[in-house]
Amino acid sequence: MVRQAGRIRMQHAPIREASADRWFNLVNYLILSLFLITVLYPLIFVASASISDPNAVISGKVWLWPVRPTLAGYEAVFQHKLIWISFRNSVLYTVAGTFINVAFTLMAAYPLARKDLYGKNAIMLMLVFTTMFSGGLIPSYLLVKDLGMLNTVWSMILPGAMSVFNVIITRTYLKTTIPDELLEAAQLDGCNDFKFVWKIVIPLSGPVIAVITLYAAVGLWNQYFNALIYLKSPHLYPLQLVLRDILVQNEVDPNMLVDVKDQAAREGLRQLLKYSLIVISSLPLLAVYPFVQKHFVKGVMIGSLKG
Amino acid sequence: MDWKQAKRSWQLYVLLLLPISYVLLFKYYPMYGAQIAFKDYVPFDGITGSDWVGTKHFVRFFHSYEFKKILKNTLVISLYSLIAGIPFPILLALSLNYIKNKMFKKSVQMVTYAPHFISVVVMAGIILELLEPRNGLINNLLRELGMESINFMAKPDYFSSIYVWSGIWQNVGFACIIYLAALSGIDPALHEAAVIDGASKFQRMRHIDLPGIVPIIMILLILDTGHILDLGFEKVLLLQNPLNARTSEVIDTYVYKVGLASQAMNYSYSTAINLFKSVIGLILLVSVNQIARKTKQESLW
Amino acid sequence: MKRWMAALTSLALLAVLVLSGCSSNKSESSQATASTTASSPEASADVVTAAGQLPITTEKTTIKVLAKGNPYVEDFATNEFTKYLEEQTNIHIEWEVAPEKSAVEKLNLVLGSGDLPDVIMGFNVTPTQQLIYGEQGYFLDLNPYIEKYGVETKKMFDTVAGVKDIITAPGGKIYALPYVNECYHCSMPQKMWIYTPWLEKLGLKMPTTTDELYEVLKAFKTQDPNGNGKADEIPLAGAAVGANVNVDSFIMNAFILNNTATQRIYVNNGKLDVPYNKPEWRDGLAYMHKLYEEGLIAPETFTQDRDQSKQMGENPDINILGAEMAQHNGAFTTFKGPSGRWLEVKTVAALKGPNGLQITPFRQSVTPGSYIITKASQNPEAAFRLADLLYNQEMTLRSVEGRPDVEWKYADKGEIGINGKQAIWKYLPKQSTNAVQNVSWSQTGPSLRTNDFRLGLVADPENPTEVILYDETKKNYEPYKQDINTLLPQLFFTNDEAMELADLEKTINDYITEMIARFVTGDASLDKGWDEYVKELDGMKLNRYLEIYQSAYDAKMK
Repeated sequence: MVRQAGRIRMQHAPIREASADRWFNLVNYLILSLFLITVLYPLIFVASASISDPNAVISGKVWLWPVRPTLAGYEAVFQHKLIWISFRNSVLYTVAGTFINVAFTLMAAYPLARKDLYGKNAIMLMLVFTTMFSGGLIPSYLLVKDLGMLNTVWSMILPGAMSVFNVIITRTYLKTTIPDELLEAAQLDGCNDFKFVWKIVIPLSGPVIAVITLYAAVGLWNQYFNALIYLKSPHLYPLQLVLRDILVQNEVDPNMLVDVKDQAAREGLRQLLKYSLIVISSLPLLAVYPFVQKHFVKGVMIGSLKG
Repeated sequence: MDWKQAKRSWQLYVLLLLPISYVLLFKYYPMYGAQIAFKDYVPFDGITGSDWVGTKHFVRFFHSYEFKKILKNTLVISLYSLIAGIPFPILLALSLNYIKNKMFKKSVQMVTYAPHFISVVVMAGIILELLEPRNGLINNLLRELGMESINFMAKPDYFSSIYVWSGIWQNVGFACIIYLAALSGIDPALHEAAVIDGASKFQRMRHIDLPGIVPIIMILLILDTGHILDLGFEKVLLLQNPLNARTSEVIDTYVYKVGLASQAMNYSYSTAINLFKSVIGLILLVSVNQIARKTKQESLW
Repeated sequence: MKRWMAALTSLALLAVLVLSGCSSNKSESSQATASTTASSPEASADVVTAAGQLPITTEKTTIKVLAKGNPYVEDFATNEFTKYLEEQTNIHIEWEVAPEKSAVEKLNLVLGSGDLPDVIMGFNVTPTQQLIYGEQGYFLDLNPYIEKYGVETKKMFDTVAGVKDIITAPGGKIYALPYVNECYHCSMPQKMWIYTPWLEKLGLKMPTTTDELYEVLKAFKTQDPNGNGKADEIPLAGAAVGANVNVDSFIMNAFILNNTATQRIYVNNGKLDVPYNKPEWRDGLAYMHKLYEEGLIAPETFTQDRDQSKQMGENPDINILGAEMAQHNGAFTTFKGPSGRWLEVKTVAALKGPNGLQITPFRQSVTPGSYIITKASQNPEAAFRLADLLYNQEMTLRSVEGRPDVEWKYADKGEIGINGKQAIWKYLPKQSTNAVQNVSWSQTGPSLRTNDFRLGLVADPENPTEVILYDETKKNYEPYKQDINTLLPQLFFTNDEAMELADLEKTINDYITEMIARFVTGDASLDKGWDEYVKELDGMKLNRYLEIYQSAYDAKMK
């Protein structure tokens, strides 16, 4: 019946379709462009402010483009002894942590997405409960200490090893994209659960794996408070900690207004640092994004598998 | 149904083993610390050694002069944020989904994703700049259009809007990612069939895309409801000033400032308040989940 | 897809292995070097040398110190000053440094985990916390040590007025040593600065009364002192964020004593009182409201932050700001900024109000809680003598500034200090522009910088700020300093008092600030709203609030 209707409609279809869709496309592009501009402005501002002359920033002269460009804000950062070490640390923590995070998330999400898992509601409740209630800082600290993880890399990776939020969205995704027929067909072919997950579920989950990888990576990369509490040795510090240190080092203390030239220089530097720090710490995450974007392509393998 | 079913899915339970162990160890075990909400915690005595005081801290909180005000402000800003924030990431994802030009699509995604990384301090600074009465961008525009300049930050009624819309703006690109992924998971055969049937893009959006992402919308909604009292204090603190104080003081800023003003240790008090927030959040979450179940929508359990 | 995943897996595993390899090496080596203290409690006193003598202990002693991190100090353990101290005293310090941003959390975590250090340094532990832990015996009473070994400490008690009083808890015990930095201009920080070229241009005199201030501000607004033909002048501005930049900080003192350092509480013949429910306060608000109504106070005063204040004061090319409320000339104008306005603003002396009141609020510069010896200390005598040593002038110089003849040196005869008298010391040219250094402790820990010492720094024409601030304070504020008997002293509260106080204080203070803003801007009417305001304060238990303070005050004065 649908096909009949389609054939009948198709005689008129091209014109109506084309004009309705052309309007749609026009409006779509227009709105997105407008939105793009409103978002772009502050980003350009931040980038410009990070390379402008501090006095121009202070007096408000910088509103879009850089004024009297200077790289002092970036020099100050890269001169810091710990900057490259902390960069390396952050990369390692993020990579290792993300890997564990994604693995755990998939291991938890798939079983919970299955209709036939006995106790799935109880387990869900148990997981969600942990997002609402927490024991607080002190017991967590004691736990990390008792496990001997204080001041080690494990304290940067393990406590945040799995995010229940990620598990939930992965579960939802799996529930809506892995059809039951697929499971039934596979089981008929003698495929057990492990094989099903490895050979079918994971390849089909490109988009959601991309998302949770991104979310986990962003969370781990921006990690800051954990490091403050669990780490002692500066050579284990992540990037965020070092960057914030640099910012604080350029604060002016009203009790010690002795060397004005020095103070003025540092205060000026601080203005630049506020912005250059954002650029430095977010650039890697922005650079990574295109790789994630690749996976937001419609229906990667469902079609082919169906065949 | 019970044991047979469980035995057949043994492999699933094996998969669950590691994650559940992690959760038990790192999340459940430390929960014993929540008891300090009912004690007068003194670091030297440790958690077990501190004295029990029952509901003293809760009573203190409920009887505090500003309780009603901060509860109201927190709820208003949170609900506003929740409801206003729902459509935009979805619309953005839907829009992007139909953009054919790869360059444009990727650039928009990239650019809108970036503001998420602007620190809260700089963000607040940008907001204050934009809204400045003397020569902020917004007021300059208003004056061009012949209107009077408005001192936005001085008006208590505008605070929630300023807070909410700046938040939406900053996070819409990041939040839409999950919807983009969900849209990518929709069976393309459905779209092919629709095109053959002569459906316009708009119709396809309404009948295929939207229903395809409703489950994730529901789930996120339920989860967000659970965190309705968790506003966080940094951004509010940076945007607060004496003139908008009566609508800008929320639970977390109150706790923060009391902690600063307090010369004694404040752990038990803030733990008690967090417990209060969690309990309320849980009740709301369960309620919304029930509603979702009753209306046959996707739910957490 | 599979190959990519395999590669990623091995990369991640490799990362984890590499990292765990690194960390386990470090933890093993640190355990190996953890030395155990030789002395037993009874023998500890024997190891310590007599008061004033160096080295402090006859055998090498180790003291575990938990210190608050300092962003300007690279590494306390390898610091030059630490090394010097160890050479001189024979005491080896085992450092644990809590990162500055999470210092309080770290302190509580360390205490809660049962690993008590010997010494807690640099945290500025509040008097109430000192009392709580002191009474339970976790913090030692330092009086016996001061008596027996406190050479420099006793000198400090004599030279700096009121120090002993400030650090003594009710009951007579001293649980922590203070950090003393008498910053003269910071002791009277509630100031107003005015752009003098405009006064000259309009032929006006520096205002001395509230009426005169009104006239001057009006002239700024109407007579176009910046000469650009536009009425863009901002006569007076303050800010919502910054050092004493609030609208009431300076002006209100012409009507009633408004000391923002003591929660505005003052002492009136042994009885504590507050100014903000008095008719004089109302008059002050009315005056400021008049200024606001006539456009003489910028509306941004109640909303702007530090950055925006600077933008106002450093308006490019042409000045638009007439007067500003700030602790120093670096809030609205930039030190050594290209506009040079920081040198052109001068302070307005304490204003005389309609009732003839002309007063400058005063605050102490003693920071308590800088050095605490815990009950875990095996050699409290040595620990105390270490702190005592730090109050010595040369030690302070080394601890705060760096090495003699490298970062600083004693002044030559004839060199003049900031106070115009023979100078004591001076800075040597800085070798690097790096803010982080490893030659001094940069103000962490106990040290003693008296007024005379600070003002004994050689006046450097390249860096006139300290001189400017000193002169301005001496000329325009010192003469009107509030009577020391009206100043609220440092109080110690009990735990329960402190908890009750925290809620009341936060609520009351926020309300006062809010209502100042609302009355001055006219958002709330003084005529109609004043009584309601006073009633509201009563509803916030203002009486109970004062009661608690009064009882702590009485306990101290006993």
